[in-house]
Amino acid sequence: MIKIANKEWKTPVTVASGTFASGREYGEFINLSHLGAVTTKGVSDVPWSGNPAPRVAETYGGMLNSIGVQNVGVKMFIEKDLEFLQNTNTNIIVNICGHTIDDYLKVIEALDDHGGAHYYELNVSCPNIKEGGISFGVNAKETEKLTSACRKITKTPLIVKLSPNVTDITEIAKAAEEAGADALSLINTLKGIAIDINSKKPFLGGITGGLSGPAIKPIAVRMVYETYKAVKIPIIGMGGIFRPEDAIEFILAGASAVAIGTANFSNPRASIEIINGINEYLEKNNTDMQGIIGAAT
Amino acid sequence: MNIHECEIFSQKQIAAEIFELILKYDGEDPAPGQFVSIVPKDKNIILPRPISVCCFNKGYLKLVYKRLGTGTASIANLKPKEKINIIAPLGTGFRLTDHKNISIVGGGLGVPPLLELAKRLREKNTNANIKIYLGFRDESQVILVDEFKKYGEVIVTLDPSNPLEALASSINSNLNNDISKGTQKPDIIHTCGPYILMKRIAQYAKEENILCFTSLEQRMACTVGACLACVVKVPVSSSVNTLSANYDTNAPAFEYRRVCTATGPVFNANEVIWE
Ligand SMILES: Cc1cc2nc3c(=O)[nH]c(=O)nc-3n(C[C@H](O)[C@H](O)[C@H](O)COP(=O)(O)OP(=O)(O)OC[C@H]3O[C@@H](n4cnc5c(N)ncnc54)[C@H](O)[C@@H]3O)c2cc1C
Ligand SMILES: Cc1cc2nc3c(=O)[nH]c(=O)nc-3n(C[C@H](O)[C@H](O)[C@H](O)COP(=O)(O)O)c2cc1C
Ligand code: FES
Repeated sequence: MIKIANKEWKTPVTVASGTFASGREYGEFINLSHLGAVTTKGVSDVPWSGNPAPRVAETYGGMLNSIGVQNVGVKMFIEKDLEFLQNTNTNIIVNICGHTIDDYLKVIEALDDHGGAHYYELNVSCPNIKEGGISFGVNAKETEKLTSACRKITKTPLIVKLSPNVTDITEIAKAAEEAGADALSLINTLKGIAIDINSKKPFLGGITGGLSGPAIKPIAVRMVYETYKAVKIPIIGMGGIFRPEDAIEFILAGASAVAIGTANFSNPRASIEIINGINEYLEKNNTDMQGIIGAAT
Repeated sequence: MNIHECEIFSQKQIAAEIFELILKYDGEDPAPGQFVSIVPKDKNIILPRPISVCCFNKGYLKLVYKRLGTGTASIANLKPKEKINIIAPLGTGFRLTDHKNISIVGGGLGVPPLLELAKRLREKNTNANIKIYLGFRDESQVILVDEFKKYGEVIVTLDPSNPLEALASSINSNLNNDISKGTQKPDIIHTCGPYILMKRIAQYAKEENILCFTSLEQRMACTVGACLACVVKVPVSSSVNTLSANYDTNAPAFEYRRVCTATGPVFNANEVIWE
């Protein structure tokens, strides 16, 4: 059992935003209440149509996606998904995206008005249109501004989801912590491009895509390791976790919990198998989560 | 949909690089046009591979696929008695209506899912006039023709230089022939094949005001409706899954809909924005 911002998690495993929708589909394969939390797809204040297809390209040991956070907007999300999630008997993390600080605030206000969630996860990788389309999360100042604006209007615990497309992730992590984040989640996808050698053009409709899957795991583990040493708030680690051993690496590097993303695609029961594997590891080593979080640092 | 561990019953090559895989399967009965997603055994492959249900008989599932890249190569290596995980059944298939004059149009690797459709349409209506047009590039690519013959009149075209034109003109001349004999135009067309073929058929259906269903393909990740990778453009107002041939002539605003779940892979052709 672990706690993040004073809320108990039955297991230290959630799912990564955008790979699991709101849980309905994968709820056919697994019992959602066995997860420590369900993390939703990004929700914006108005509907986003997303990028043209193709939206995914498989790569060696990973995949690129350029979904473009297609979503129905917070109003429809509340109507269609929030009640379903509130009945799943586990923690709910609603992932939030926006193009301006105001966009994020509107989503939070709408959610808070409807019973809200256990946590809001701020996806700071979205392009910030007021700052020339550069994402909030690559700049400590912008991350701090966004986080503290959200902090001011809600009591719901805030998780800031960090982008790996930065020179020093600890700088952004510290800015989020100082602005009042209750926890951090990392890493989001790494920016990449795939080129179709027949058409001689970028393969993805969105041109660039986010790389996820086992290929990014060592980078993600390194970033969790560095961030753990730089901040005091808990970390939810993710990036290429496919097996229990991968999850345990993240925990030893400093993650209090982990999220399963791309692994759901080839194995819809991956999250449950990873929970079981972590438990076996803890039993075999006669320890508990507290005994191993950050033990490798 | 669920995950099923299936034993390979048989696997054989039936045309150039094209394989027929029969799995023992005890899951929910698939509808024609639904697909399964095969979880590759090779751990270096990240995503499951969507393959259409070609034919289903209680306990057995037949898939016909082409060996193209690493995923289908690893599927082609499977031997009888080996086991493999599949997620099935997926998507929304062809609609089994009561129409009497039915045309089925398949091109290349779009042909396999139409077999179960032809079978089920024949079972549903023994008197139906079912015409099946199948187009292939050349002799080496021809698949399943004898099996289709059990369910309707089969017209095959082969043309290495322009398989689409060959298929289209065979459909045209057959139709004209039919009409001159006093027989009716089709009431419904079901099609699966290369995008340009389906687009052409959809256009024809629109001109003639014929109800038309088309099975679309898109790059997928989850295959179960969760990731929003597999989208196609549909008009915003589209009701999806209707059985109407009312064509809206205004170019409507679009939205992206998933191919892998409630809305696809089989779409009413008038509810797709063809590009
Ligand atoms: C709903 C649906 C039904 C299908 N049914 C059949 C069928 O019955 N028979 C058949 O031979 N093929 C079918 N396909 C195409 C089949 O999925 C691809 O040929 C196969 O995924 C190629 O995998 P690969 O690893 O061999 O090729 P690679 O080119 O190495 O694959 C790389 C990636 O691209 C994806 N990909 C490649 N080609 C396609 C494609 N045409 N459509 C979607 N994704 C693709 C793969 O899944 C993989 O993620 C279907 C596709 C869809 C979407
Ligand atoms: C298809 C897809 C969609 C994603 N959508 C979102 C999203 O909406 N918001 C977000 O914060 N992260 C999103 N991500 C990033 C994941 O949540 C996760 O951070 C990343 O994929 C790394 O983990 P993984 O390698 O286990 O997938 C998405 C990832 C994928 C593959
Ligand atoms: S492939 Fe994920 S939604 Fe269709």
